[in-house]
Amino acid sequence: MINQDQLIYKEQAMKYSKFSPFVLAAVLLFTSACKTFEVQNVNYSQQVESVLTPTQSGEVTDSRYGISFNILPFQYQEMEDSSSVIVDEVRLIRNQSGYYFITANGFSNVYVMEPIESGLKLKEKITVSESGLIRPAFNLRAPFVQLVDTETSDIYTLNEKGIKKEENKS
Amino acid sequence: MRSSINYLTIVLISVFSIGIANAQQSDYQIKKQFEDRHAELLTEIEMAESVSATDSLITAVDDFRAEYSDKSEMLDYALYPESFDSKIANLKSEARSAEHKLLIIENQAERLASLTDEVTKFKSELATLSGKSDSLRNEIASSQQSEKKLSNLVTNYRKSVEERDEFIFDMVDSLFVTYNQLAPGAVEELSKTEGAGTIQSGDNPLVIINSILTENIETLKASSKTFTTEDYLRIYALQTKVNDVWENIGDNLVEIYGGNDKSSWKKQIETDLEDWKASASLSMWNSLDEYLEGRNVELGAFDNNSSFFTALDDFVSSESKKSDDEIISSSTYEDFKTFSEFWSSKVMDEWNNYLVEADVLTASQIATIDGKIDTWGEASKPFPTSILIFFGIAIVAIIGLIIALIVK
Repeated sequence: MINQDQLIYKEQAMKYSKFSPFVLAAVLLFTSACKTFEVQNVNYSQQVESVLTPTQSGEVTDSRYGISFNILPFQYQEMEDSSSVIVDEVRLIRNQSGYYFITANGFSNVYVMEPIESGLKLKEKITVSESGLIRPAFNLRAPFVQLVDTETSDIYTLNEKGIKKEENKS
Repeated sequence: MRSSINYLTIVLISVFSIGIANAQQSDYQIKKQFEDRHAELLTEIEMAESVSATDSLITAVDDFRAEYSDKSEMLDYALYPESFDSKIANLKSEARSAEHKLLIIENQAERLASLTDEVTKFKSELATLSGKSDSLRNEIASSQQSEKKLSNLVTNYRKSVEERDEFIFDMVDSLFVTYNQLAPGAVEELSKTEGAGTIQSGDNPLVIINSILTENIETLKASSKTFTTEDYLRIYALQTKVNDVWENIGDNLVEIYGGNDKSSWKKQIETDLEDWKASASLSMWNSLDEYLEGRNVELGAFDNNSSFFTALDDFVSSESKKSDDEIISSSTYEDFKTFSEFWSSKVMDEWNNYLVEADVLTASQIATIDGKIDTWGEASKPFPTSILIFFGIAIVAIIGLIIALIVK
């Protein structure tokens, strides 16, 4: 025995079932359109590296390119010490793809960082010198980033995946 | 031989190393070096002390530009919001501006030096002339000599003061020419110029001007009996000139030469100028009044340009009207002749320059009175005697003719 409420429900269900494929298609179309909207061939590159001096708390700020972060986690990675700021200058450059290349005096590695929401995520840790860089500097040599140790004249051609070429001039 | 090869090797390695070192610069380093050199050049430009130094710096800027021109694209980016070209243009503009400023200063310094020499000459010349005048004045005051000899002394004294006054006219002109055409900012620069503030007191134009004022006030006080109206007119004209020049260049002179006593210099000179003006004006108007009274020219009261012109104008107009009213009599003709002689020999000739220069009468006022004097002359001119004789003969002939006709 079907009561009155059940009948009403059944009628409504039949009525909506006619529309539901259309609604579903519209929603899918809308969401897929939102997801696929993107702009290709964006060049994020920074032509000249930024040389940043950390504050006492380790904060470095690049006001021209609008980025600010703390160097202590990098310092800890390198020296296992984040009790105080030892790094005096941080070198930073961004390549065409938008990855940040970060290093400093005494670092053995270049940190390739990917920007994420409110953070930087390690994409690649490129070891360039066991003994540590003495006076590193970045140049943009698109599509690569060139790392020069101006003290030793060692040159490393880098991308976000690692070292593409190494020239040891010393 | 071996040592030569070693030496060559070292040189080659060094050259190679330098080449590598140059090649391994970072863009940031290049930017930094560019900025450092820019700042260095800017400082050198600011500190440049001569036009030749700025000329060399302009060449250095050109070299600097050439050195970095192949990096200009990178520098445009690195120097944003400035650019490579704007940085170079800034240097060039600063260098040109410094050169212009130094050119003015060098010219002004030359002018200042030449003026200081001139002032030194003025000083000694003025001292000689003043000394001569003072000794003549003292001689007159204490003279027990005959009237003729005393008169000669007075004449010499007047000549000496005139000579001195003419010298001051020229000197004041020279000061005016030098200090009235100073370029904007030059006064400030000159006041900082070495030597300007520390100029020897005797060569300081302010000291010279002050001594001129003091001596002239003293001369007027001491020479009431010896000067003629012409002397007083000249002194009044001189005073007017000094006053005008001071109004134009006084502030510049005080700024350059006043040192730490700028306000007291200004106050002292302006007070002396006022005293001299009052004294010269009173003496001149009184002397003019006495002179005219002495020639029976009775003008109304006057003590300035406007009242003097009114008095002259009223006098000539009323005398002219008086002559107009006379039909045959020519009693005013003598008055006209007296006044006309005074007018042509003094006002239009001997005193003319001083009258106009001191604004005792303007050129247009003189022209107005001159026209009225001509009218007065026409009106007062007596009938020629020959006409009167012919007129008498004609009347007698007419009367004779009438009588003859009656008798017939």
